[in-house]
Amino acid sequence: MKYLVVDDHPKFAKMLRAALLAKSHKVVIANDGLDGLDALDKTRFDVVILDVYMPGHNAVEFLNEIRSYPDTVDLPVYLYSTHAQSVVLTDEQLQQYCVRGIYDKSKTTPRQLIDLIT
Amino acid sequence: MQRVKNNSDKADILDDFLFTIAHDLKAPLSLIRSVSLDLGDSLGTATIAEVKEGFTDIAQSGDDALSLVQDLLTVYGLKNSTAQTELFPVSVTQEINKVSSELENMMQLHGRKVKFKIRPRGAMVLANQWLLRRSVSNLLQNSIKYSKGKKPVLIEVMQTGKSLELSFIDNGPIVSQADIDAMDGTLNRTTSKRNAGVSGLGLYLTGKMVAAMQGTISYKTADDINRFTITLPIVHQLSLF
Repeated sequence: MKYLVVDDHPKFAKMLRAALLAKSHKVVIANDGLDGLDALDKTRFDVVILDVYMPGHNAVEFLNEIRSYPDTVDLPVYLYSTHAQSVVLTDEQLQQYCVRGIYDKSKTTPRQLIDLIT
Repeated sequence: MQRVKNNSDKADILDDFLFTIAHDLKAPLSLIRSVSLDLGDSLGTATIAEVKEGFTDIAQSGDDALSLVQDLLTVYGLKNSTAQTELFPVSVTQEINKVSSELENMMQLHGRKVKFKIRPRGAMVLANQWLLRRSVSNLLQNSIKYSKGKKPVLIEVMQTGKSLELSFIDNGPIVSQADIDAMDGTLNRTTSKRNAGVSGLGLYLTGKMVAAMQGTISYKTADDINRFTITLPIVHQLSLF
């Protein structure tokens, strides 16, 4: 499986990458929403792991955009944020954006997240 | 600066302030927890280099959290006259070098270089060494974090009349009004392109520390370039060479 990790925190991105590679998945890291959209333009991914608050283009803007294109309208997305518990997106928005799951960085380590979703 | 009109406004401001602090502390604390659990799980299988890297990450995140708490305590101390605010001649070059070496790990993590243009190199300002160092560190960290691509961050120091301007120049997202308000002492819980969801607590604290040194902090943007400038009174020049 090919994963796109969109996270502006380099350490969390690196840990996610290591956890995915350990399970023999392919990974591309994007540092913010705009980089993530660029990556989606170039390559087809199976799953996106998305931070919520990022400079440049946040998760809502990112989701709005990818859900407007036919090739990414059903792309599975998991939100992974320090704000997952206090956030952010309403249940209706999560449903609207077809978000498969939302996980808090303070409760779920990158490795645990990958164990849960792969 | 925004005026507080009534108790309800005060309560809102306090709520926003606490929210911002909680947000800024949650990221480094979450990272400490994640790396610690990973290290525990990988005991016996991780290489020495991996274990060493994990401990370095924990220490770095601990430093981030502690720096924020220390800045909050410092600013509280300034307000309540329990912190040192005496101003002495301080070498700008030395403080910039000191901060830059402290942030080498962060630069490496973000793949970012920092360039310097300091004229005159021997310039000294009237400042508090600790407050100046923390102010420089906060602005430099922001620039390192938010710059895009491979472009280096530029620190430019130049004399203008009887003042010295220390500018931190990067090509990151343009700073929002919330961030500019934060520098002037007002925190708003608004979405900021640069500060990822909440207004900049670091900028708020930096603004307070610069003001305590009777300096000013300003922001300009042009052609997708951001320039934060601290202005302090110059004392005299020393020749280092």
